[in-house]
Amino acid sequence: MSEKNLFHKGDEVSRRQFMIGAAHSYLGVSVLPMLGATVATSDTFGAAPPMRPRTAKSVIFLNMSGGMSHLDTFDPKPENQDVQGPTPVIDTSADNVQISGFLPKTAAVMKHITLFRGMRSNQGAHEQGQYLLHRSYAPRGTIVHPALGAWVMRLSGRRNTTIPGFVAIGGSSENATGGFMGAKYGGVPLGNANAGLKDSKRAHSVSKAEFDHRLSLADKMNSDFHGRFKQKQIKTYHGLYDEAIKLMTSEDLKAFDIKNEDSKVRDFYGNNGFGQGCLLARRLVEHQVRFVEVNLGGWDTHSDNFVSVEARCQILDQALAGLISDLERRGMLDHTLVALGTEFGRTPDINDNTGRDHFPRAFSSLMAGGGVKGGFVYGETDRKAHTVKEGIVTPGMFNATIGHALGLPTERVVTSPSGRPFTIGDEAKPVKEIFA
Amino acid sequence: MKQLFALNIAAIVFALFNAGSASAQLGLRSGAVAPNQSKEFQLAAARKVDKLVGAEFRRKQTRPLPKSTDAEFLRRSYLTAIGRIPSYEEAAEFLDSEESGKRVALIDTLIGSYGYNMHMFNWWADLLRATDSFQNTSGAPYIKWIKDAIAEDKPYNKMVHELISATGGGWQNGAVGYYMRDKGMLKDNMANTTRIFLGTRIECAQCHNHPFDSWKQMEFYEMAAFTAGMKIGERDSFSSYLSDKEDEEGMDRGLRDVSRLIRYAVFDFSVADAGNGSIKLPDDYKYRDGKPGERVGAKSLSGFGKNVRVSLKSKAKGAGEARQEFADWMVSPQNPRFTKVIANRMWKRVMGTGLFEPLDNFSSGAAPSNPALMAYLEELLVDLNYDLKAFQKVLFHTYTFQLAPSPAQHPARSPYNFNGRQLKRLSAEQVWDSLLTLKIDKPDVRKGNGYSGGAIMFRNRPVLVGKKTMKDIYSEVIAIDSPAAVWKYAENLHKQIKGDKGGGAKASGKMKMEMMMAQNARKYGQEMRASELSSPMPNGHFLRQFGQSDREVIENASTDSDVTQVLSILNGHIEKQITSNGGSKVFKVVNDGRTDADKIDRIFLSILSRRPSEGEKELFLNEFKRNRGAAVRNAVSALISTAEFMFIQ
Repeated sequence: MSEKNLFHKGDEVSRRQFMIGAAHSYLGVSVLPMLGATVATSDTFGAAPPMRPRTAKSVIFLNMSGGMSHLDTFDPKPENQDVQGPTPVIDTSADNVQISGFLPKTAAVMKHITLFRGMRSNQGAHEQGQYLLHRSYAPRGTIVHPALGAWVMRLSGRRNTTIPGFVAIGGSSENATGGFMGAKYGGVPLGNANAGLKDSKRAHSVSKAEFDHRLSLADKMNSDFHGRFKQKQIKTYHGLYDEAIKLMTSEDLKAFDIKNEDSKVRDFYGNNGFGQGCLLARRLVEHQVRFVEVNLGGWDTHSDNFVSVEARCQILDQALAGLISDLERRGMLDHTLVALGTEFGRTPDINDNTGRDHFPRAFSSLMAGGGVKGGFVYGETDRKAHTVKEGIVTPGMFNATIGHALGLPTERVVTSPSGRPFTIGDEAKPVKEIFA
Repeated sequence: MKQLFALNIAAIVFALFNAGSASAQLGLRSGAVAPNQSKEFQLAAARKVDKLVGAEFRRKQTRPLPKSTDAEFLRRSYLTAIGRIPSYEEAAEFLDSEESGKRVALIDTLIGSYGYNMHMFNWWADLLRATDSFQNTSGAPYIKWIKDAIAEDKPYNKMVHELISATGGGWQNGAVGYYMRDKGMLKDNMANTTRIFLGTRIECAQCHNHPFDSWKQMEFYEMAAFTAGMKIGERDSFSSYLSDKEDEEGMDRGLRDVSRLIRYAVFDFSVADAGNGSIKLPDDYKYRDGKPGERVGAKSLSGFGKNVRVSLKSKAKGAGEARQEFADWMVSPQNPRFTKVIANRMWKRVMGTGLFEPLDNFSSGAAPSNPALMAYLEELLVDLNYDLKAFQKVLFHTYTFQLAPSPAQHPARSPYNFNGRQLKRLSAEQVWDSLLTLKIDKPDVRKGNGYSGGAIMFRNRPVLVGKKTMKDIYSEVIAIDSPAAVWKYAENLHKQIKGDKGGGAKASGKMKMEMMMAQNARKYGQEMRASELSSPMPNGHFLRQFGQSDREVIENASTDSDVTQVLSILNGHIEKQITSNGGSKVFKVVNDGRTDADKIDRIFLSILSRRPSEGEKELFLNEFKRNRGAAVRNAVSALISTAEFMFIQ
């Protein structure tokens, strides 16, 4: 067909319509790479083992970056004032579980929470600790490991195929990396909860009519090029324009807009970045986003630990308790796993600046909803919170446990392009005792 | 009958491939004095390459594709040689020229231009993982070292030797950045070294015998022994003294920052030799060829030319000697893999696909798609004294490079016969630099990253300009023999900085130039080529969105397309910076057009480096009639949105 003929076919032939059909027929599925894969890919070592029964469909991962003090939050030692310092201790809605008095609202929802008091890491610096926390592996100079959310995308795919499956709100965008799995499994980093999905709205400089008109011009140009190069990569590229339009016009896009929430609901989560991030996370999970991370920094309390931790806890307490009770009220808690993690704890010994230093040997984290037991404590530290007496949980085990809740095959080996084998938790086993 | 006809046609094209082969023989055997500088030599070598490619066509009875059009050649050459599309003026000049030798002339111009250096830097930065900072330490001297090596066209073997044997302070010898990059991870560094320069992956053998390849854990440790014990950073006692002073109650913040600057730039940023070429096996070593914790001597991988080894018994080895011997072995002409790997990398850089892939996993199974060609390329690179620029020039001058783009997509990582270039999405840097070409005039002029090398940057401002450089600080501090005296030095330096009223009257020309470059980053913001911006740009930036490498892992860039890129084209960066930016270069060019047809020509030349077809002309003439005001913007947006713009042909 000559190019003249193509151009003379006129406007009535919608190239775009054709391309939408083409994307389906050529690629088998409607793909939206970068925003998380649609379907789980098969195992590199043959047929995929059957998925486990899952107790959670989505995960909200709360990242306490900087190293959250365990003594002043979830593992207080009131009987040892020398390590406890001035932090008060309170009872909770769970029998025999006490936590820091800085977290009264969390105490009230403790009946939904499993505490991990035996966390242990082997990384004592922030960057390395955060890396291990998110990826189950220590940083190496020869590979970039994928973040947990990317593992989840790789092993289970998106629930809602029009919007991203993995979103990271605040914090380092490295936490959203697809690593060696590639950008298509990586998450979409949002600077903050108000940022919205980047470039998903038409620019003010372009009218709707103009926008559509430009696309039709490009379509006409493309048809000639496409006729000359009948290649999969070119088809895929054209298909992405359809995906982009689909996203721009998606009803689910409004999930990203927390301004749609009533101001009372917004206040309920706390009027700060983290609180609003948790609210956004809930909205995204409502729209079937698979994995959302929300970051709360400022835990690196080398000096004035007690003042700083109390201030952090005010934000955490309101948002965490708000999130758990809001999920429960909406009937979402039973299939949404809330996990809270940090790269390490802080020294039981209080330093000269009334601070606490890095302490990877023993610290705390938690999970709630998504099939885990409520009011349950897994693991225990000694009387000075100095070492783990029983129930050691490494970041790899923690991540494998999240995978387990999602019904993922945690032993599944995924090989890097260089042929190296990896698993979601660096071969660690999930902690099954915490599931109800 | 049909086949016979095809062969006849093929024979005609083979004649083209074979043209000048006699002189090729002559050219190759002559050339006693600087042969690589002679045009005859280059063109003859190019013909020889074509002949070897053509032989493969003949063997497989493949009918070669036609020669590329001038427009295809133009755009491909610009993108491949200097990393961006041609400007409107550059495109028009080439296409309008009726000179018969204009293709050869264009290549010579491009490779001699600064744009070549810029594009080459991106390639090196991806390979060496050159970043702006290594933890606290500035990576600027390393980046400058790489850029200088490109600018002076340092032979590849010399460059690699300098990297592997680098010692001293970073501000004296930027090459030590090669080890600074992997501070605390020297074993990983060794795995990277063999991967980059020998095309061999041994990192698996770091923890166990390689499951698929033949490498044993013992062999990994023997290799790692060459750099083991080498110390990165020096005089820990000085460093901790300064650090303690900085933490003193009520310490002046300015003085604290000066002390940090000294600590990071002098004591932390250096490579000292202490290794004697031996290493201890890990405590969980489980193979029969060694015992856990046993000390073993260095030995080079077998199968790479004449082995070098360090005996445990010989105590004669001085500090760092083993590493020097390792560097010598690496670049030795008796280590053929060293040449093969870089020849293949350069071939891929110019032709788009390697003779063998993956480039860095030349395991026993892999073989080049055209062994005779591979062998000749290795020979040629040695003849050219490892001059990568001259080598690439030869490849650019081949007829193979000038073939029309391949209509079919060749399966990745399978042997390719190079019958037409494979379509490939532009790299992130090529997209960025091409858009810059649409946005500003003379995009290759502004220099930024790495060229603040000599200036003392204090709190993000250059200070003591023309009075003192980072190099001065390094050599002055390293000569001081007590920590307390270094603190005194810091106090003095702090006073000088506080009292600095600018000036810089005594600044040398070179220093002034570097200062100007340091300031360009502030002056032009991000309106510079990708090579002049931060390395890498932060996650989320346009460049990263389009797949720029994080430079954490070797060659970690991606040319995968995704929907966020399309959104950026339609609604984000491209819409804001180019399409709706009336001040951008492309609009100025178009506004100078006399008629609608001329304007349409200018839009096409600016963006797609070609003139419109009749059909396209008609389409856009209609557009101009219908949408007077918005026609140019619509056309610019539409053309950038095409696959033709986003793919190199």
